Amino acid sequence: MKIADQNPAYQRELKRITKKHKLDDSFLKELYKSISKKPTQQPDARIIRDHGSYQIVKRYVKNPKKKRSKKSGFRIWYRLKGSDIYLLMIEDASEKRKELSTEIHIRTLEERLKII
Amino acid sequence: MLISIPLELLYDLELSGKSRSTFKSSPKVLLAKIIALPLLWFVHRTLTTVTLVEINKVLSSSSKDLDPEKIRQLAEKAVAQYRKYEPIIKILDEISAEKYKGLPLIIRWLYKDVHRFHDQLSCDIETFANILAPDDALFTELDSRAEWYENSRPEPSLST
Repeated sequence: MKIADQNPAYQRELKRITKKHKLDDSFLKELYKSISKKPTQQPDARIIRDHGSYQIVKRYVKNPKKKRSKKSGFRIWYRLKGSDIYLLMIEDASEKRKELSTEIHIRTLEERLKII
Repeated sequence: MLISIPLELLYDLELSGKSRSTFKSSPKVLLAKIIALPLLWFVHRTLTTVTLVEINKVLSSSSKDLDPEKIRQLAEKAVAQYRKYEPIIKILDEISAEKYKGLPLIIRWLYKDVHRFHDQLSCDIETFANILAPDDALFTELDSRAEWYENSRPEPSLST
């Protein structure tokens, strides 16, 4: 698998994040290497939507500048089509801590699905 | 787990109106918690490992083959397991508050191990929420970005 392209919106988000956290090229090189090698590596990268012709994968990435878990690192979404990977979106979880809190997700599951 | 119930009760009785963030156990109670810790840790780690293996197995298959009922059951299991880790996290937080570097190696290892499993469960719960109750705004944005490749990029020409 290879990274075929990056969405302009993704590039803007990435630029902002790398600047904020002072991340260097080696972080991106490592990240892209692991994405290309195992795009759906368990348990870090899961297919969250299957459109038939392509899938959308969400990957949890640790922030190397913080001594914290991947939960409070970054989220990257990419599209898999054939052997090509298209990078779609990157988000800094520390900026959206409240919305990404596990308690919020549990409540969402409880409210919307009445499962728990 | 049944073992975690006495600890939860212990916390509730001890708290009696005090804030959890400022609360500290008496030395005897803290010692009782430390003694209970390895057993709690072992039981929950084993159960969580089983749950995580099951989650990996199901979520690694193509989402077309996913059985919604199975996903629901696994989401419930992940949430239950996540909740069961809370007493252990509370004890470890209490032991290690502000003294992390001075703690014995085994406690530091335990702390890291417990948080690793707790975090994995948390990430899986987020994935379940994404799959079972998707955020419309996020998915609209993702879909439009994914379709951008179809619309704006010319297909490679077959003729040379």
